[in-house]
Amino acid sequence: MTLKRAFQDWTPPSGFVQVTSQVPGIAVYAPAPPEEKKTQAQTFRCPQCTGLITYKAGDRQLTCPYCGYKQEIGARVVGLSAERFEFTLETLDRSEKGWGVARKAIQCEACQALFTVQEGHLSTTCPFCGSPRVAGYESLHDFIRPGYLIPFTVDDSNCRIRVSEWLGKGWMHPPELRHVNTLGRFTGIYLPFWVFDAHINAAWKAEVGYERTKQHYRDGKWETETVIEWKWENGQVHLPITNLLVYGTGQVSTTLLERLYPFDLRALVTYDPAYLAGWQAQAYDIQLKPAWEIGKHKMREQAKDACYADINSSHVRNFSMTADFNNERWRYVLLPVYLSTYTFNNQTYQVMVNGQTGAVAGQKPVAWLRVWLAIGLCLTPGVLLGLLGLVLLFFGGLGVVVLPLAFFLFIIGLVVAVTIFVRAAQAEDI
Amino acid sequence: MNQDRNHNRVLDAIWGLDLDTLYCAQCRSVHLVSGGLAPEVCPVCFSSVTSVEAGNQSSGLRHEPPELIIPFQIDAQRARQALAGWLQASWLRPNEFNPELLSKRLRRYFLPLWLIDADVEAVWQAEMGYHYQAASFREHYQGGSWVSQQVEETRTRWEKRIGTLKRHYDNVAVPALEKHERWVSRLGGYDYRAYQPYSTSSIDASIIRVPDYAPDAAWMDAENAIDQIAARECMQAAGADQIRNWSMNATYTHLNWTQMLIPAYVTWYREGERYYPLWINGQNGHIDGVKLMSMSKAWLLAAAIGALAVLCFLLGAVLSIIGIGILLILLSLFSTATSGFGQHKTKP
Repeated sequence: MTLKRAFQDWTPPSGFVQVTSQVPGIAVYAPAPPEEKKTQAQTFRCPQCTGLITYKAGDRQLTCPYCGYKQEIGARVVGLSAERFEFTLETLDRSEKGWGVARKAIQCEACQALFTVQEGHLSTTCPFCGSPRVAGYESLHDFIRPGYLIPFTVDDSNCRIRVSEWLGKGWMHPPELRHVNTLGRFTGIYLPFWVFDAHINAAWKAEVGYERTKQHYRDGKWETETVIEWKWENGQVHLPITNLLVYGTGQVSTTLLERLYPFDLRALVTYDPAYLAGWQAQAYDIQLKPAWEIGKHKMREQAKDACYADINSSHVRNFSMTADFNNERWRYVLLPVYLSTYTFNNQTYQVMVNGQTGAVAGQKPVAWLRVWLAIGLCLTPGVLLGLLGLVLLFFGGLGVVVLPLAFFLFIIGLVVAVTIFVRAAQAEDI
Repeated sequence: MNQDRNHNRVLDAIWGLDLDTLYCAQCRSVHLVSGGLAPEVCPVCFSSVTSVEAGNQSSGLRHEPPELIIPFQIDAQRARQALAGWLQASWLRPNEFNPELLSKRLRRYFLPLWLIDADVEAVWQAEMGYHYQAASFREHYQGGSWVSQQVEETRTRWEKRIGTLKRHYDNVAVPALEKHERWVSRLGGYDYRAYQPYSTSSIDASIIRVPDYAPDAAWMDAENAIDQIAARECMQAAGADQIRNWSMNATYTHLNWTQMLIPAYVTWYREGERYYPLWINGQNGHIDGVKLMSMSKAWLLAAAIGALAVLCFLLGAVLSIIGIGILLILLSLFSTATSGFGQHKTKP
């Protein structure tokens, strides 16, 4: 009787909602799905003056720039415990789509970059190329909604100081850069990144060579010879790889982006549209699958290096390995980056600042005269000593001692020169 | 052996036939026999059977009516043929272990199962497993290049579900005999889905085993069986592929107990003082029983072989003695001949 009453009086516990049952007479309740914030698109307006309120870098609250009203952001820091997803179509379907907030999609007509701004904001210049030719774009319904982000902690005035310092550094760049006043506005933008984890079990097999010394007695004296003895070996390496970052956009220089690493993922917070208030954000244009290919490529190379490290010899041939990936997981996060441009000698250069750590990376013009002078200086000792050695060769044979030294110096100078040239080329051409 | 016919009118009314009721004091089994062909001995333990007195409720007679029956798909003729085929490979069989006698003793036999109907109201909870396809990856490196392989795996996602259940369950089958599983296993299993509604003609000239368990005793099994069906249905209701940690807080009302009968044939033979039963599954023809060799025939055969061996031995012995005698005679003749020849040669 008590049980009967228990059945009749039963109500589902809080947090459970009724779902479709495929058998009559049986009611099924499942945990309620996370709130669909997407359906409650928000425009962040001040309740006091109705002005647009924005997230202020380094702060955990929204601030009204007009009346000073402040509003706490409810997102919590999850750090490395942020949820990770498996590689399933179902998971992709389950992922919430869209931004969960009314945002305007913008496309640059010059570089085709796609980014979003808060409703009511109009971006007059492209944060990637500085072009003023931007146009509205259809809404971004097909994008996976980011699950986590790292909020901006560096503000734009700090960026300006850091970039000015960075521009003044380096002997191979024009000294006028120190005083450049064409530095544009710093646009804080959340860039998309994929974060991958996997556990790799790698089995390798190779012919490994071990050096042995042999002594021969020939023509009345002992001679020592080093030989390599080859034998087949195999081994296994277990390599956990966590938090591998792969950029989700091809609109910015990936080389520059990687120079902004590392981001401290321990500061990840649950995605809250409030953090995007007053900031730009870019949706990914590198899909999960191609991004995973990039990540997988990096992971397998790490596994290969680990296998080589497992071999107790530098002599290896016929190396083969199989890397089994287990527990592959992904996250989609937004990371804070400032983008800006500056002009120097009528040419536009891109510069980026890590919005979390303040690290700076960018394109810098090169003072090629200085570079060539430096290269010349590097090569001069070797060349001059070589000439001296040739002269001394005719006078008493002392050149035999000097010439090898000159050759050694020349080689060192050449290596340094090439390094300088490559770095200079990279600094300008990124 | 007691073949007094003693009708229980209530039972006759329930079953729709005149039935003899037989009780075995040895194994305590109770049988109903239709067609007036009560067996000489208990078909289970082969002890003497006694008739149950009319109205004696302590004897284990059950008044729950039969509802379903699995009909014989092997008729008596096919059962005899199967029996003859089964016996073919046996030799040194006891005298009674022959197809003719076994066929003559062949009787239709029904084993009982309880069928329970119940209304169930419950609150349940479980973890439901949903299958999904996930991709895993394998990379092979050889000769300076990589080969990628994608492996698809079926994984299970477990999610909590709770709910209510208000269902009527009809004809849930539950063992009615203490050794039901053993019986069914010996008989090679049954397809319970092949049932038909009970009719009096289907048990004509048959022995029907009365349940060992009363409904009260069988309730625990019944509850488990209903719960298992309910768990399956909850899984189905939730659209899940697997279920675990299932529990149900239920009330069971409007319980109705009936019986289902499953068919078999029984026959027997005797060797010495012991009886040996043979059982044939009435649905698929599977035969269970002991193929015994007759000890007396075996001894007779052994004695014949032994006598033959002794005869051979004696013959051999006689032949050996004769052979040795002949050999000795030949040797003595040879010896005499050679000694005579030597003397004759040295004298000149």
